[in-house]
Amino acid sequence: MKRLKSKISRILVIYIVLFSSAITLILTAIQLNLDYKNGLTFLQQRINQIKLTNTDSIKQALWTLDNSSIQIQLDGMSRINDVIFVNVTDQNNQVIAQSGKINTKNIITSKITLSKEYRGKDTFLGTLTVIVTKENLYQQLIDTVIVILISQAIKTFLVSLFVLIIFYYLVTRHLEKIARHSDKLEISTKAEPLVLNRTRFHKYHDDELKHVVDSINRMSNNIYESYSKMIDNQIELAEREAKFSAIFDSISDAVVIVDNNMQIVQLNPAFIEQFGYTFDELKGQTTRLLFAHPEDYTRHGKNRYEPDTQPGSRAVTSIYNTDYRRKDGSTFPGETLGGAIKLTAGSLRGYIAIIRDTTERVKAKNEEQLLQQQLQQSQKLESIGQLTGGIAHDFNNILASILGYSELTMMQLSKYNDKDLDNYVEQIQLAGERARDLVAQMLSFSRSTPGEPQQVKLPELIHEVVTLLRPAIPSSIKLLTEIDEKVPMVLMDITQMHQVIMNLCINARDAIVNDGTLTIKLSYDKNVDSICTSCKDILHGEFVKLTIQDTGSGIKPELTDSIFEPFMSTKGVGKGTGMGLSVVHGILHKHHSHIIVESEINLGSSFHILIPPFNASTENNKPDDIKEKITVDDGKQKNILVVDDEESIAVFLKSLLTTYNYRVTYTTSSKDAVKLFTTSPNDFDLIITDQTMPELSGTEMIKQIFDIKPDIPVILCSGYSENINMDSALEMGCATYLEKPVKGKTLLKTLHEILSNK
Amino acid sequence: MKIKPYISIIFLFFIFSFQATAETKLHITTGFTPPVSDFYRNILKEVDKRMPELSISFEVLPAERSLILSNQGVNDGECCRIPLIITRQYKNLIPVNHSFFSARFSAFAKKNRKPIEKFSELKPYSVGSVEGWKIAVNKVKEVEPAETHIVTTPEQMFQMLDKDRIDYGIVGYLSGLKSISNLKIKGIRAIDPPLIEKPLYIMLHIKHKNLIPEFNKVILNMKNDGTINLLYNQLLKSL
Repeated sequence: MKRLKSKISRILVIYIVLFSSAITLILTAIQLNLDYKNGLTFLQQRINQIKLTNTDSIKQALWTLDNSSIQIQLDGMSRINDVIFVNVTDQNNQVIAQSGKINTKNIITSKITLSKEYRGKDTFLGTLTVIVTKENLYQQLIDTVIVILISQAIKTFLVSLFVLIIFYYLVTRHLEKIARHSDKLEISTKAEPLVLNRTRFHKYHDDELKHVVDSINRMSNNIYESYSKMIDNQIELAEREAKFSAIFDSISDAVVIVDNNMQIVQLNPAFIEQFGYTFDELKGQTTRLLFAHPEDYTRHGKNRYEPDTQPGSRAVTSIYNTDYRRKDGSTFPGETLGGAIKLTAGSLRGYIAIIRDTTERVKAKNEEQLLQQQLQQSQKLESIGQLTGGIAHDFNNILASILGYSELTMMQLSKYNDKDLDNYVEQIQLAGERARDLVAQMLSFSRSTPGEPQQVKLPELIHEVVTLLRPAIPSSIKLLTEIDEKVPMVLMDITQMHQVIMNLCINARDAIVNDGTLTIKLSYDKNVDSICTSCKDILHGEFVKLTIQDTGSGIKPELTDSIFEPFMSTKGVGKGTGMGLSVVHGILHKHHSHIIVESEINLGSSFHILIPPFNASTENNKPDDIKEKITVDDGKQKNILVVDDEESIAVFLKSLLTTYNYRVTYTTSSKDAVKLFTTSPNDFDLIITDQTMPELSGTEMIKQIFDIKPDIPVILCSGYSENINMDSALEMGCATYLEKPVKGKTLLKTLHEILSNK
Repeated sequence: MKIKPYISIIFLFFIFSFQATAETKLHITTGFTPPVSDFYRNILKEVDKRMPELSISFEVLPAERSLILSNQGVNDGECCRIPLIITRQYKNLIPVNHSFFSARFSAFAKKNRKPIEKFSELKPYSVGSVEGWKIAVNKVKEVEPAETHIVTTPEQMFQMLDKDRIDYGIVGYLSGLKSISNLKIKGIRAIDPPLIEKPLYIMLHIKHKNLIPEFNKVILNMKNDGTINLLYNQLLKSL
């Protein structure tokens, strides 16, 4: 019952009662009105009936003035229902007879004229007055009202009760369940679907409640999904904000945001760090004070981003460069990228400027120019090196023939004891050796690998060089040394280092025209910060510094970048090969060392050699390991297969080895060599092969040979090859690697060692 | 335009000749019933004959209604009434000077009853009368006899008298005779002289005042030449 007393039920009942009462009242009023009219009609009919029934007799009695008869008739009429009073008056309006009495005001009075046609005329005889009461009619109406109201009240009560129960059963209890379900709804939780406990008929009936339930379920799902999306959006927004803040704060460039009034509203940490202001110091101000030159604010800042204040101007967002001023007054060059901040709707929210300190860039740009020069220099030297290497290879082949055959000639001439011929051949051999040394220097410049590095005590080496050099220095040139004996050791090929110092000292000597001073300095510089003159590398850190300084004519600035190129010489024709400084360049850079040239015309030049100090943990070379001990022995008829596309070299090797009791089979075709070896692999004890050959290269041929007989000793020779050295030759299984031109003795020693160890 | 004298004379002649030949219609009613009403009709027929300028019609009406209508001028005269009584209520009626008939209220009783001469002698008796006969009724009521029975018709009264329900019946003389004749009752007589005898006069509406002298002249002539008696005797013979 408590549920039945729910507010909506009460309201429903009240409305039903009110409506029913109103309808009842209206219908009752209509009913009463009709009854009243019917009652009046009935009364009028009664009067008419009296008129029809009694008028003639009363007329007759009145005509005959029979008052008693009239009285009798009136008495009879007054006993008729609702008739309370009747009377008859004569032509003088005098009452002749009457009956009844008037005891109420609710009456209907009807006057009936009594006349008689006499002699063709209507003769007025008198008036019959009939008064009927409406009291009975009213009483009937009251009774009717009471019956209607009571019956309607009972009906309304029963209908209301019925409606209440039906409404509760069909609606209210479901509404309460919907309310309870709705109370439990939480925006953050996906709700169970609302299901009403309805009868089978109503359950599947597509009515308003089903629509409400469907709508609530849809609404619940939509709210949950919307809430989830909102949360996701909030998270995404927070993440975006955090991301934006992180990005904004992590931007290494200074970022400033101004509003539409060009007042600063936001700065990033890089800005604060860059300019030295705090945000509070700049908040609300324009960016004018940030410009080193206030006119730049108008020229670059204000005019670009405040088009409205300058008629005809446009917001320009291109990058511009200007100088900025920090809080401490210092200035710096800055590159600024500005732009308007607009929402997607297009409304302007302000402007953003990203200011990049270009101090480092300017510096780097300068360095980049140096690097560019370095690259060009390196490329130039590399191309020259390749050219030189190619020439050296051919030269070596030629020299190998010259030296080999001159060596054979010397052997043959020893039988004749002709000193002149011996001297001729020896001069040929010396010239060939000088040529070989020249080629070796060329190869030293062009090769990518150093010679044989070892720990070198530079003070000792310099002293040796000074001792050797001093005779070559005229007395007009003062030779001075400033040697720091405690400099760390360096890892260098001692011979090549010797050559470097000699080359530089000879150049210094040649630069001094008459008299002057040649100074050799050795020191340990722990804070080098410079650029290599030849390779343009930027140099930082600790270096052992060897300086060859002269007071000569100096080098023209425009020649400084080209003095390390091969065949570049400022000396006169015949005075120099042009290879000195290029050899120095090649040797030093293959030992990770650099050279810096300082020169002034007529004041002299200084060549600073910067050598990295030796670190014992990274290098452990043993100089003694590379010393050769050559022993020439009898060939013992060992069969040697010689392969060289240069037939002169092949013939020379056959002659040399045959002299020393070797059996030699030679061929100028690497393919033929493979065929020979394939035919009878066990006939050969050792193979000497050139690397650079047409058809099959030396290494390719060796691989095929090893497929047939892996343990056959192979000596790989090469005049010049970037791809082959001792390590790679040993790695692929060769017994050793020899550089052309190979000295006869060296070859014989090598053969003896290999074959004796076999 | 000047009207010639002889044309005017001719015009006036036509006017007067028309007036001389036009009849005045008189409708005279009576409240008496037969045989009296028949006597009146005969008298007025004779008057009509003797007054050629008049055209008299006659009608019997209820007694009171006859007076009322004549007084109202609906009718032209009433025949016949006692002027002294009538003119107090009906002021528009004026009487003719000469009466030709008298109202006689007689007492009727069986023949063995003692004759009476005046109303006061009725007191110890049972007396009946008839409605409409106002003078008789009023006189009876004044006497307050031992029993009074006012009935509606003379026939009722004579039947009661015949059955001895009343001792004396008071009604007009001619009406009483007529009713006895009609009922053929034996042994009842009219006591002579009547208790009341009053002369009756023709009553004309005042608008016919100018006709009074002519009526006087004619009625007087009819009396004198015996016409009235003749007609009265004829009435009596019929009863």
